[in-house]
Amino acid sequence: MKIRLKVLLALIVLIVLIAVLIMFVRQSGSMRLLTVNYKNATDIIIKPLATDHPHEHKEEQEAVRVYESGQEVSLDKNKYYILSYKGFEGFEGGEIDLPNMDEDQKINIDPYFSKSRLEAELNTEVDSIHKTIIAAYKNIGLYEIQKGELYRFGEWYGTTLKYIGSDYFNADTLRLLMYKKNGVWQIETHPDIYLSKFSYPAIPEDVLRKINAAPQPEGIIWKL
Amino acid sequence: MSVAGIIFGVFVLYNIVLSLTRVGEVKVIISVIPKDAQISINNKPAKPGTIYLSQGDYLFEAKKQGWKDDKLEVQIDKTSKSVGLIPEPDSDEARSLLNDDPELQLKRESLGGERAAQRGDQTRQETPIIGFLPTVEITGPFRIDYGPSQKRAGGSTILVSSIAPKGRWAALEWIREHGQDPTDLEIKFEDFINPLLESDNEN
Repeated sequence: MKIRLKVLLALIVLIVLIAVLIMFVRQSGSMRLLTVNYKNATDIIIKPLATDHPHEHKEEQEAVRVYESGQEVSLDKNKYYILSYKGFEGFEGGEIDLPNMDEDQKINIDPYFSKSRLEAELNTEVDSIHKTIIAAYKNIGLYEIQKGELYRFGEWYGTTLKYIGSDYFNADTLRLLMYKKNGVWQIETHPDIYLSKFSYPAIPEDVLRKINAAPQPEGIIWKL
Repeated sequence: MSVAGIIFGVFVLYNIVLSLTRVGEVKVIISVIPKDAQISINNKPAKPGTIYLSQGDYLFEAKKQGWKDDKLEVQIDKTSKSVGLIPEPDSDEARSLLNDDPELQLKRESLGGERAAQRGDQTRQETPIIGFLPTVEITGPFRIDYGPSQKRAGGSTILVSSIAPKGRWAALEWIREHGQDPTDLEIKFEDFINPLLESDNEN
């Protein structure tokens, strides 16, 4: 009887131990490691967001600050975080979404140039860019090339072409992207009403989204 | 008592180990017709039945001599999935096997139906705007419809019809208002002739 009782007790202890072990494994398994590498940035802060409302910030005291590049931060696998940073002089600040995920993650913060820096660079580049566009299309006289914008580190350029011809049925504003390779601007897309990521898989999506969101110049399009 | 206790303990242990090994994995049920076709998942041999996979994109394949290979790309998310593989007959022997066994043919059709429904769901997930189409807007004016992509297998093309630039622009705005960035779509403007890309002007 005593032996049976001991076996039973041993089994109960074993089951409890295993249950504790499972809870430990699950708990330690609920955290993920985020390695943050950065340059040209400062004030790097990671804040958890309410899961049901990804754009509502939670309590400030839960925020984690990153002090040096390469720092590892432990995050809850089931929580959605947002990382914010300020750019150094001439670099853009920004935010990065960190959705809930199981795997450890590495992020590299390498901010793009600030809008004012890109604007200043564009002023020195715009003439040579427009000359390239004019040389590429026989019918470019039907369009007024807008000033456009530089993106990222100034290596991408996007502009809209405003129709000024007399074919009202095809008077759409067109969008065009160019890339500066070895100091020379080259046309990367056909001019079109919008630019699809499927037509240009090699072009970064953020660049495509920016040119597609560029404002429609006021013009002949609204006369029909 | 002690034997029952030990059996109970072993059973509990087995289930604990099993549940631990399946943490973060999702149940996937694989069916294949014909049953003796060779299955692989991401080029690694597998068997029909229930397996557990972690989340991600997988390529399921079924091969059998006399039958055309069947390939299916499946994205495994948090919910369990059924994957049906149905190689097409590619020999007289395979065709007569199906003709002689109407029940087998019925099962194939059932799996095919499931796959079509899954493909439809996947298309709607990838291109949610399709759920609102076709649409006609007389104030645009424009009509938006969709069809299979000419460039991407299994993809969709959004078809915009409007003779006026204002209507085409209004169609893009309508797409944005319905929660989709046109950048993520393949759109064909059916009535637009690009003055810069007419054959003799193309760059």
